[in-house]
Amino acid sequence: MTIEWWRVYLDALRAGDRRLALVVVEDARAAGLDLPALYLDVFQPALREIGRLWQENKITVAEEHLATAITQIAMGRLYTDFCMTTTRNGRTLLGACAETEKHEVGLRMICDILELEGWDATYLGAAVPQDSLVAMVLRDRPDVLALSASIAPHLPQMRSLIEAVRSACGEAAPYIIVGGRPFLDDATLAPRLGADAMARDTADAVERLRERFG
Amino acid sequence: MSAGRIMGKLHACLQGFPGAVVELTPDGIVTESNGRLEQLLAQDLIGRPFADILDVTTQGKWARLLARETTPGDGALWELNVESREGLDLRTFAVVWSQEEPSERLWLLEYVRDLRLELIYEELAAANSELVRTQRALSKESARLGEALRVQKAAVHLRDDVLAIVAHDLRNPLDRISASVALLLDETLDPANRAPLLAVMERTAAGMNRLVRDLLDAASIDTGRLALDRRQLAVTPLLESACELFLAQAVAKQLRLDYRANADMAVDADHGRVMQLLGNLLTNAIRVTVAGGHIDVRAELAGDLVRFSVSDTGPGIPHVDLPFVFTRFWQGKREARGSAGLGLTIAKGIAEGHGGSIWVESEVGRGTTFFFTLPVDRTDANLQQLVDGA
Repeated sequence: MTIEWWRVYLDALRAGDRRLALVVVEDARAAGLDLPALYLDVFQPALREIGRLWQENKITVAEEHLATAITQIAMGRLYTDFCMTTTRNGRTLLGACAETEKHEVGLRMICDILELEGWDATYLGAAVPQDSLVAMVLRDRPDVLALSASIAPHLPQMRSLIEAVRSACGEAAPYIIVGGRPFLDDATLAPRLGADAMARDTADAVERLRERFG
Repeated sequence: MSAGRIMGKLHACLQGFPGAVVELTPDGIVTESNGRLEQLLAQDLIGRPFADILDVTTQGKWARLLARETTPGDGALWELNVESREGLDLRTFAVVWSQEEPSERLWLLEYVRDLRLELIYEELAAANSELVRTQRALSKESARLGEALRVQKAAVHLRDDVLAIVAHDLRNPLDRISASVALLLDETLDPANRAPLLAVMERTAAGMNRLVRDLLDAASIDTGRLALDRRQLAVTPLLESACELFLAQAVAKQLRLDYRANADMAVDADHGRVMQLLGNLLTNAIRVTVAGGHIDVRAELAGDLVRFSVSDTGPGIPHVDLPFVFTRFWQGKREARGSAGLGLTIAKGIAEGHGGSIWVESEVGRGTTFFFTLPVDRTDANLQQLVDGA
């Protein structure tokens, strides 16, 4: 019998039970799931289902936030164990969200999975002002800048950020990959914002960056 | 009190209510509103579909509400994203289906949230990002320190090992040289005996030189500072010159030494280092193989790599020893100490320094094969050189 770990994990999330959720993650690890499997086959489907339940009015945004927060804690625990055990390959990535974005689990997953493959990925998350971000790109010169926006109203912010990075770096600008809900509906959006590539989801982003920089 | 008066009073209440109150037809067209949403969005709503002001992320949910796919009953709370000028604005509505009027109506009554909670939530989200950044930075720093500690410990071990080697393996030849010098200084020594003594001293000094060079190479490999001067090297001439150097030794031991490359190809490698690698493997093979035996050197293309192998018909390496053969100072036979036991460690360092790898297959009584790989070089210039050479 194979256990559908994401369903077990989802039950713990729906119960809002952080301890239980962390135990499920430990059990899944003991059963042989590695970090990409936990991220892509447990956390991602569970959180997608949480999103679907909100659409059906079965849970509230508060419960959705709780599920995200619990997952962030689980990811924090996994990170220390998994990500530092490999040799570095010299590739660097800077991951950031729109300044006002609330939480971006997908971007963090990309950072962690690439780190496991030897990249040096810096996750900035939300609430980093545009000026600081541009300064950081100029200082660290990452190979890749990964940007995420979960909703359309954050897109102008993203466009202005990309413009700022390109004008500050000129020819030496990093490879800019964007992702998030709004890009799924419109394939022309990413190039119009000045990005080099668009990723449909975490797995797609990892795959594209592997191909480009592998 | 008549129904009309109640409605009149309620109307005043609803105007003063801090949240939005909207009346809609069952298919979602706004018929009445207390004006709150109009203030927020700066647009009229009456007569328009309510869906017009909802964000794309909420359209499906709204359609489900109208279709009454999920009917949790009157007063159930629905969260809907309104698209305001500032961005997404999550609003919670109590939904009531009213049957009492001549025509059915849908009421949305906003469940007003405390905006201060929203601010607290934003602060928490920012704090969480900060925590995640810090945790990741700390984890990386901790790993870096752990690695530094490991390197430092390895350096201490290496120093201890080097001291031991210097004490044992350099002292004996030095004693031999001292003894020879003492004899040479003796004026009564027959001049005919001087030349053999000097030859012993020369050989001994050369052996010491090799040992010192190996120790320095092992140290460079250990600290990742093995310098490589990489060029395009045609494989067949490489095998040819390596084998030529060892042919005399092989013949003296009555061994057959063959080499063959299965194609014209080249590697991207440091000539001196590859010769050293092949030399270390050939030295071992010749040392362990008894008269009548056979040593075979091969090279073949394997994808982006060239796979080299050095096979002997020697005694083989016991299975339990195989995992340790590339470990520093490992020796096949303790008593047969011809070197410091660094040859295979250096071979491994050279192969890996080029981005290749090294491994061994062995069967006791049948012999041993060492394999190593080096990156193939397919550049045009190289092909041209191969064509010209052919």
